[in-house]
Amino acid sequence: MKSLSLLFLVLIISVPNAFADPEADRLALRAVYEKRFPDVPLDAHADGAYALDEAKREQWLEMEDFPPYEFTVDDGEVFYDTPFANGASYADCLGPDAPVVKQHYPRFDAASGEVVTLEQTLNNCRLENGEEALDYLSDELVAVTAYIAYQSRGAKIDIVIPDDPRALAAYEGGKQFFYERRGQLNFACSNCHIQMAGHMLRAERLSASLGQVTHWPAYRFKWEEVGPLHRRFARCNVQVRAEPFAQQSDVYRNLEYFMTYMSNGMELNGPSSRK
Amino acid sequence: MSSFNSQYVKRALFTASLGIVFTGLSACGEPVEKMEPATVLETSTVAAQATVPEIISQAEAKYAEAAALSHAWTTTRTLIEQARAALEAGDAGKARALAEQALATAVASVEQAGVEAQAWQSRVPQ
Ligand code: HEC
Repeated sequence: MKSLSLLFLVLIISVPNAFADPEADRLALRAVYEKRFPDVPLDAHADGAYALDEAKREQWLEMEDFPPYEFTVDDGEVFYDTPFANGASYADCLGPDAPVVKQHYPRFDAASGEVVTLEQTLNNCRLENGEEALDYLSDELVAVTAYIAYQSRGAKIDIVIPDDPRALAAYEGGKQFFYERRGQLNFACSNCHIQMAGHMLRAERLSASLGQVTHWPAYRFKWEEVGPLHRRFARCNVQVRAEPFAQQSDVYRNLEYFMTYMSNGMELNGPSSRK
Repeated sequence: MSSFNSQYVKRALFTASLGIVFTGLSACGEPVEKMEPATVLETSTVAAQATVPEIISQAEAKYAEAAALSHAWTTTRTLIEQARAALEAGDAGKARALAEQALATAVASVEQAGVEAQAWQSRVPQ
């Protein structure tokens, strides 16, 4: 009897702490949307607001007949295929499955102890091969990510959070950022994209956070160009009057890590177009 | 002076709450967390004898403190810029009001960071 209760105690202690159980978080989040939108299959949220608004969806599908990101994907392919001065190329830094790799990003890098995004991997590749790093909003970097996203279409997001306290801390940091109210208007991401998902905010239908990362980079008509996910993060910060963070800052990389893990198992469908 | 200032802050708050308008709010039957702008101090924390440049540097210090906690508001930065511009234009009264507002929003943003350090956990779906 005594040994049984001892065993029980050991079991309790070895159960991962509730604040660091990404898989439980993911399942709980999916359950929220399942309950909220019983008629919308979870995978449909990869289309963002267009999964929740039939009229807007029809307009959007019409636009996608002539995808506004097409030229960017084509440019990206040229950049991708053009060797650096030393003869190496982006593909050499992306492993044997290149260019179908987007499903694995962002990933935790044990050497640096940080979350590394696809954008950073491309820039690191340039540096290692004697090229200059590119601005994260530059045409070339955005185009190469658009090409990789296009090639990775249909692959299922497969983010790994290794059993490393630094990886869990990065995940937790992103999670906290997502649920914290900020800015003078005092909104958390979750206020708009969980609690208010499906409602209108001015003229816009609010998307669910599930699937928000499946389709980047995206052509935004407001930007009149293809832009990365972190640019959208910045916009969502500024609209509640919170100071945004730099592209590829640790804050946004950890946020991306958390959000992408939440969408694990969903199919990539980028690049895409958005209003 | 301080009652004028508090009116100013209230007005700023009112415009903030108009900034975001949701429609169809009551459509779902679940308990809905309140959507309210952050509370900005309504009374002046500024010593009467402080000069406008002193208030501006206090606001800047608080803004930096909020930024270090990832909670700075664009509002504060804009107000600081406007206060400086008013000072340069020689409008001391306007500059003072703007600087005090900047400081009030900066103080509120640091408070928000403090509250949210715990409060976020209540929003995580279980
Ligand atoms: C005040 C409400 C509000 C808040 C708070 C907010 N957003 Fe948004 N967000 C929007 C609106 C409106 C859109 C455009 C419509 C849509 O796609 O949901 C949007 C779009 C997005 C998109 C693009 C969705 C897509 O399908 O392409 C992402 C990603 C996103 N938000 C992430 C965030 C993150 C992360 C946060 C917290 C840092 C956040 N948002 C906070 C209102 C908000």
